[in-house]
Amino acid sequence: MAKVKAVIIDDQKDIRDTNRTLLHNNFPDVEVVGEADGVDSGVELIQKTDPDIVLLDIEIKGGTGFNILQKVRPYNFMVIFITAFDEFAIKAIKFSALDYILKPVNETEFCTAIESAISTYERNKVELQVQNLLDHVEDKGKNRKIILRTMESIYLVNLEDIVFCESDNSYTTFHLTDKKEILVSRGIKEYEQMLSHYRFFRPHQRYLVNLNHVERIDKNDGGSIILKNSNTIPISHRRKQALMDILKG
Amino acid sequence: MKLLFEHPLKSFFFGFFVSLLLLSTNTVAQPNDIRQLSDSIRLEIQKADDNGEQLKSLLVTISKNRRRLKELFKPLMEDYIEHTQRVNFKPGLMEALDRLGHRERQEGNYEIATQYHLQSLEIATELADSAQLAYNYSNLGQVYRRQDYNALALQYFHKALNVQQALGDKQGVYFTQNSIGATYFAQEDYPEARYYIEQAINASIQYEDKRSLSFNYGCLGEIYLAQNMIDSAIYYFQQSRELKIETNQTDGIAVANHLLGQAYFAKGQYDKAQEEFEKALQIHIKTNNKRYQSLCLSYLGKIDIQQGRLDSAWETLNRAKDIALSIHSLENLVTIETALADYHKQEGNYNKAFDAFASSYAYRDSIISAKAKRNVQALEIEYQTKKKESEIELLFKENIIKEQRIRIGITLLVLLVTIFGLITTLYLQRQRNAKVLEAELQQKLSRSQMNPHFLSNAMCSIQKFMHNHDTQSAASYLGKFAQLNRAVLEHSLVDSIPLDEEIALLNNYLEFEQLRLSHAFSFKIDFDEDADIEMIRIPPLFIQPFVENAVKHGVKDLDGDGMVIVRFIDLNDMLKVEIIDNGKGMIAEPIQSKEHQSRSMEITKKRHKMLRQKFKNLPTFTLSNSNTENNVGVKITIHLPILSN
Repeated sequence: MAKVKAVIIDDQKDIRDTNRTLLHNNFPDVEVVGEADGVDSGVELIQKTDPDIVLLDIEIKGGTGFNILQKVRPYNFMVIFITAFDEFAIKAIKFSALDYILKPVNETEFCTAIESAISTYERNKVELQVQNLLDHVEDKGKNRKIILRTMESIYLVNLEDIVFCESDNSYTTFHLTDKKEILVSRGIKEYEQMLSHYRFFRPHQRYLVNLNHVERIDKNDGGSIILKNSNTIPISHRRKQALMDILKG
Repeated sequence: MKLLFEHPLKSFFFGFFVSLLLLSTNTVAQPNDIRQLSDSIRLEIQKADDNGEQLKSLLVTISKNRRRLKELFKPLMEDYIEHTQRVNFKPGLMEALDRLGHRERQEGNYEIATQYHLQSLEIATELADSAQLAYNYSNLGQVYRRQDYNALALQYFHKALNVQQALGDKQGVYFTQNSIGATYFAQEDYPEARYYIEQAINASIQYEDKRSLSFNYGCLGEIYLAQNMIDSAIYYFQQSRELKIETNQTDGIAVANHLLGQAYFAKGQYDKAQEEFEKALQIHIKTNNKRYQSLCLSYLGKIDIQQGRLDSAWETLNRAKDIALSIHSLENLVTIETALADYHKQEGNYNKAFDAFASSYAYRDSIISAKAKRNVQALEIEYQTKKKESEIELLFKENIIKEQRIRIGITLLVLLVTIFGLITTLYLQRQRNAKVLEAELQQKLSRSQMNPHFLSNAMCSIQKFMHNHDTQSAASYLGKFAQLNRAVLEHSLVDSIPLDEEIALLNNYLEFEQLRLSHAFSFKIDFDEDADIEMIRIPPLFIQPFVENAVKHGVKDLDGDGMVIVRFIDLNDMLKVEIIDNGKGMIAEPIQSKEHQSRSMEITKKRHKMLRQKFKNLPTFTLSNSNTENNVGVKITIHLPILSN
């Protein structure tokens, strides 16, 4: 079996070294074929080596990792971001269901992210994911689309088409307007954090609701949300006040 | 006659100052003040001698204050007239005579009024003062009209009209046209009445004088009603009512209502008629207009008879009769007695019916014998015109006072707004300060968590692992350290965190300490498995300092026997947190290395105090021995509010 080719683009040599070591120790099938520290050198490296994996820092010399992605289409590789705490960038990455590793690197997290990327990688879908990512970065939050990644497939979904999300431990089921259901292996909490700016509200531990699809609030039996598609979502008594505040405001 | 003087500052502002105005009204009309005013004017008159300018302005002062002067107005005016006669100041004398005549007419002294107006007229003619001439003609017309000398009244009105037309006094013209129309109506000369009223209507439309227009529409309606053209009558009564509503003439609205009622009654639409009369009656009761109350009640009684409600008719008609008798309203009594005759007829009591008829004829006779067949609308118009005339003065005067009051009011308002603004700013400033303080404390705490002491401890541990070539432990330790660092940073930036994140942070912290202290203790984080820990939100970074305390001063040196328990108990509106260790207890607490402990604890205590200012029912935190028998271990209990977002 041919080795998986990886490149590391980061402006800190220490990080590049650490990542190289971690890849070497944990993934014997992966070979690091090059390193770069900036936008231009990164673009050149990708074009020259045609890698399968790109470990990409966001803050690099001459710009950001996103600048590289803008310049190297089509995407014949999987991208894994390596970033320090940057709320906006992480949000854009999450909206595109891409993998990322936080600095300083935790080995367990590192391995999980690389494994996840390799196991779900499909070339034509990276295109969709990166496009959505760039839309988020360029539109500064005006983009209202999210990538949902399941075991088999990748979906690009309009936020307004999501009626509500239902949690089952570490899985989340998205219920869409066309009655379609998408099961994603991520916790509902992560989606709550991503979507709360888009009028999504968590009325209950198990549910995340798009408030644009609410028809009315039924105040009987401790309260529940009646959706326009006539589904009923319970309201936890702790969230009642916050829900009323949002609906009034 | 002048147009109504309307102050531009209306609506909202006035509403606001009503209370202010009312307050100061009390101080305006003190009897002593009036006497002083009257005396001082009298003195001024004497001093003015034959100075025309001064005398003129004094007359203006008297006229402006005539309402206030009340019964002192007439003697003062008489003195003024005497004085101007003596010094032979004719313009003043002429105007004063006209005004005094007007007052006398108001008081019903028609003969004296006529005398004054005629004297004034004489001088006006002598001085060739056309405007004054028109006033006098018009006023004379009104005096005669009052006495039902309609033909005479018409003569003077026409004279006034000629002068006003020559002078181009357009408003005067249409007021006079209205008077002429009403007089013709009283004479039952409907075509003439309609001609003049329609002229007046055109002019009041042109001048957008809605008040006059409302009267004129009312007149026109009455003319149609008298001619039995009921639909037209209804149309104009409705127009009149709309304008009266628009110009807020409460009594006028009621008049329009009962006129409509009369029209509907004539048409046989008794339900509609009843509705209108009931509406009118309500207002007439409020404004205490007995004549109209009696009128409405008499019609309501008639409607009752028409609809067969005889009991109600009897009661209503008697009410109407009582009121009519109390004010000697002959017209109403005629209507009422006729209706009562009808009632008795329906009851089959023909004797009583005859009696009632007889009474009704008696009243009718007495009206005719007085040769004063008064007409309701003519009277109303005259009354209203007169009222309007005095209102002009009144409003003028009031507006000056109002303007002063508004100036005072605005000053006060500005002052109030400034004070309010100041208070709000101060309050917001304080709130902001409190928020800033809270945020600063939170930041300070996060810094104190990640203080050099803590950092050097962590580095020493890593160093130890490295020296032992235990890279796995070193990496794992470093990873946990990074996670802890990140979580503390994140938590220090927000106002609330869900309980699951707090638990994750504590878990991470305790694991981290376990690694560093070579598993000198075990720990347990205890919470109700069914509790929705993601839904419970609490203020961040409150618990970790206590847990740190328990590790440092409780279980650090226990060589594997140590135990730290963190327990969360959901009390619905707050969260009770217990941190329990099985260490040496409070007595044997070492003094050394207390510096850091006291610092983060101090900050946490301050923060908790601030929380308790906001959440008054929050208990203070308590320390006790976890094992009371052996006097060992520490149990800290702290309550945190459960936040809604």
